[in-house]
Amino acid sequence: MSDQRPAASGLQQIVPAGLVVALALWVTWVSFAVDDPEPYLFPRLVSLVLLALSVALLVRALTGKTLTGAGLDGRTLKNVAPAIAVTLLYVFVLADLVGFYAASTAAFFTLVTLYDPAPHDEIETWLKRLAVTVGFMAVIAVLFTLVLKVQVPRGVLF
Amino acid sequence: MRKSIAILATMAALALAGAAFAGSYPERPVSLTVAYSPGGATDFQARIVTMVAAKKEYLGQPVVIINKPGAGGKIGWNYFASRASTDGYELAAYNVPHFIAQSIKFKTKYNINNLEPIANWGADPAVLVVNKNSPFNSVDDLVKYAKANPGKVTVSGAGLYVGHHIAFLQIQKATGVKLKYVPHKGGAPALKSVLGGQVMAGVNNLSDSYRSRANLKILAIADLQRDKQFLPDVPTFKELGYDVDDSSVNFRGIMVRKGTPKEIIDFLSARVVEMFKNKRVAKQMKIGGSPLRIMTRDEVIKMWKARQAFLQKLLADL
Amino acid sequence: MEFLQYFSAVLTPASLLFLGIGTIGGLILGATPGLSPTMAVALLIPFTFRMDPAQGLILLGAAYTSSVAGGAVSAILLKIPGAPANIATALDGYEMAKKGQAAKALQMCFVSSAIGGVIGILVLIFLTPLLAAWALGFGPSHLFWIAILGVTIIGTLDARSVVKGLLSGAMGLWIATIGYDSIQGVERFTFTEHLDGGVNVIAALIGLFAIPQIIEMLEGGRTRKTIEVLAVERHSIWASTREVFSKLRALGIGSVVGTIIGLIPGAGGQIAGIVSYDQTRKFSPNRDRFGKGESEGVVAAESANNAMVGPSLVPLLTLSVPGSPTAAVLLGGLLIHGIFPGPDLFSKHAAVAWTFIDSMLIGQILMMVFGLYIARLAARVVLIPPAILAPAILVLAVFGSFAVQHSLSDVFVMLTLGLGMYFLEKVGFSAAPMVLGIILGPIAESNYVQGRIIAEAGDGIFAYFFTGGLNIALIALCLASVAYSVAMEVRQRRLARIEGGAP
Repeated sequence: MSDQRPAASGLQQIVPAGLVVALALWVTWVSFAVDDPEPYLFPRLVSLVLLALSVALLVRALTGKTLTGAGLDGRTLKNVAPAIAVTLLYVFVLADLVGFYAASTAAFFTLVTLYDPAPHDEIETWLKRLAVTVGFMAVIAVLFTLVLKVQVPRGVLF
Repeated sequence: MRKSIAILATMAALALAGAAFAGSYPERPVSLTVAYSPGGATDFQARIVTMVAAKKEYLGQPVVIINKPGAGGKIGWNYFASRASTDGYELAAYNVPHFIAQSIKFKTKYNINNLEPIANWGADPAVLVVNKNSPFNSVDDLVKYAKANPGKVTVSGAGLYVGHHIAFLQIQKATGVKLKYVPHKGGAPALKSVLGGQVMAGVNNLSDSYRSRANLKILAIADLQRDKQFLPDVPTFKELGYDVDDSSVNFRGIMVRKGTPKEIIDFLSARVVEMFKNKRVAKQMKIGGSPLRIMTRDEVIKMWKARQAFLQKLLADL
Repeated sequence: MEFLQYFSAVLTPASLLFLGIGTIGGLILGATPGLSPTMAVALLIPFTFRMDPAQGLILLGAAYTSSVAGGAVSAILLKIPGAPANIATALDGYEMAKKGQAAKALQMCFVSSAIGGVIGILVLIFLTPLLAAWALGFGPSHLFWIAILGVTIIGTLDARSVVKGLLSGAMGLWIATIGYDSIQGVERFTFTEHLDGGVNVIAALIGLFAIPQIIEMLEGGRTRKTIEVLAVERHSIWASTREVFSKLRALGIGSVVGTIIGLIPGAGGQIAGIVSYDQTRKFSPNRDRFGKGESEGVVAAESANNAMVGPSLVPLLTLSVPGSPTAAVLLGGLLIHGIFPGPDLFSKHAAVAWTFIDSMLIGQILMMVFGLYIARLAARVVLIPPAILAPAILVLAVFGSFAVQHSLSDVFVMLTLGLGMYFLEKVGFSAAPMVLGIILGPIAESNYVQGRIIAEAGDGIFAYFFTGGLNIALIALCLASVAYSVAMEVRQRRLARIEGGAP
């Protein structure tokens, strides 16, 4: 798949390369600006490697020499944006707030609804989606809570 | 008026909570955080001493072990002292002197004042070991060599400011020689370095060293008395004339976070001690080569305070 | 030949039952993201409390063996390695699945796992006394060089761009330093409290592989298309077996490298698969097809990570030194039954010890039989519509990364790394080198620090790290690995220039 699409180029290479350089600079700064160097000997070494490689990448990106990766086009981004939003809400907000099971059930059902091509106006579609969600969550509950005795965050709604 | 209603409501809620507690705690499985990785001595013993928890005369609910290892226990205990719930459903295993020494030496979120002991189950003294092929046959041999070669004798142990390191510091102070401490990621890798000849000596757990005794020489034990059950022939440091007491003995037990209701602490400290005395627990501990030492909550409170005072002094001298 | 006597103990109905439960349970747990072999064994130990020692150990041995192979199932079908040991399996296994060869890839994976596994256990049976002392001889300087050898593989792991490969690896090395440092206990780079505990390898593994995969599945929006697979080709078990045996080079390299790495305490069997994969590629005439669905890659990786199982127990059984995290957990399982590993294990507890080893041998075969039986069925997973498969993997990833150490922070780290990797993959970075960096970082660092302390007390750092036969041999291997990669890169560039195409 990645071979057929146009490769990422131009800004799509320069921006990430720039970000990696920024990360490398921060890591280097933190590693060298400490009082006690002992715990930072290894991070210092890594930070210098990181810095050298990221600058090399930025130079290659600016001169248009690095072209790997499929890149990201507007349509793909539009298609995946809802999934990313649901995922962020699910993990960072709901999981702890309403509990793992409630949050997971909601996230699962929402994602199935958003991406299932079946028509939205048939009751049968909705029943199928509900059945799949409940069935899958039951499997998760058996595996993690009953067999493995994992105690997941309960939150306000169980 | 409004204020008094609020107070009344709060009191009612508290009373209700108390009443609800009286009959039902614990009504679901209780977790026990272990600050070391699965397979380590603490984890292994915690699993044994809690295996009968589900019986009606003990907790009536199973105890689930949760491992949060890293940084010599700091990650697990930091989590526990700052984020664990105080409803009695989250317990943790403590290791003394580790957590006390760390709370003195580092900026930790835990110390003896924000944790409440429940009961102690075991005590594992530190021993000084060398490889079977080592030229050292006694503590005196090692001290004599170290006097001639200061800083050249490498001694392995499980990390900084754990029982092994405390014993090392005490040995160094008592013998007056300079040794080199090599911290490892746990007791097992530290013992491996002695067996593999990467270091010249090691301070390690009695139980683990006992199992490897065929390939080791166990020179001395850092306790007040010899261990009659496992190593009756190994002398204590005191017998050899070195002033090393039992301060490094690794005590293991169960604690909760401060703020846990008194009823729950009372309930747990009564039941958990009985659970440790269970016959099956004793038998499994014994065949696992792990010495039991059961102490009640009051005894542990005293022991914590004594260790705190001692360690403050020892670590201040460094 | 003492081990032959005890086969009868394994072949009783009760023992076979536990062997079966352990094998099936291990396969399922191993295939679940977040449940590494170490966790699978740790989770099963409480079940052995009430069993008699031999049967308890049969259960644990079978679970250990099959959970290592189970991790390959999700690696092949979903490109999500069940454990770090299966990373290399995903590289070619998933590409095969995309071509509709999921059943074939799974069948070959189970056959080569069993072959590697049996070889590893035979090493355990026959060579333990010889090798135990040798394995203990590896000190901090040697482990440091082994970690560096792993680092030299990073750049070429994903052949598309060497700079980006190396950069992914270096970022992994940095990520590994986040949290408390293991020796001094100082907090490093912990800009949020969720990083206090550092980045857990398993959580990172799940995030970096699963999350990009989930989002990619949904890139088509509301379509009916499955993950680019239109059908699962039927493939006969005999054909797969024959093909595995035709890859003798991969099988040989995988088994030998897996055995050696498994023996060394502290090296982490996690890298056995990836090192063998890399070696096999370097010696293969088809090296250009690696990473594009070359079955040789699957054979090398899977024979290696199962070959590691037996030897990883060598230092444990004879010297009571657990060489790997899984061995440490198994030690607990042995102690609970009053069985003290050590030099007298085979004289004092001969029956239990041999029954345990024999059960792992039979377990390898049983694992293969079950694996082959489910392969065709499991392969149908790729036919599940993305609208259901993607959320299912997401929920599994969240539960799995939480289960590792009951930590919500691990779930946050998992998702953050995963989302970052989705975008980074779009511009040519890749997950495998980053995970390898996260695995190798702590091995390199802690052994460097320990070696430095020991060297300061002895003959100095240079003498400690650069002299001695083993050090020099390992350094030579590192140099050879780098030289080879550079030579390949130069050759590839020249070829690319001749063809006049884009790099």
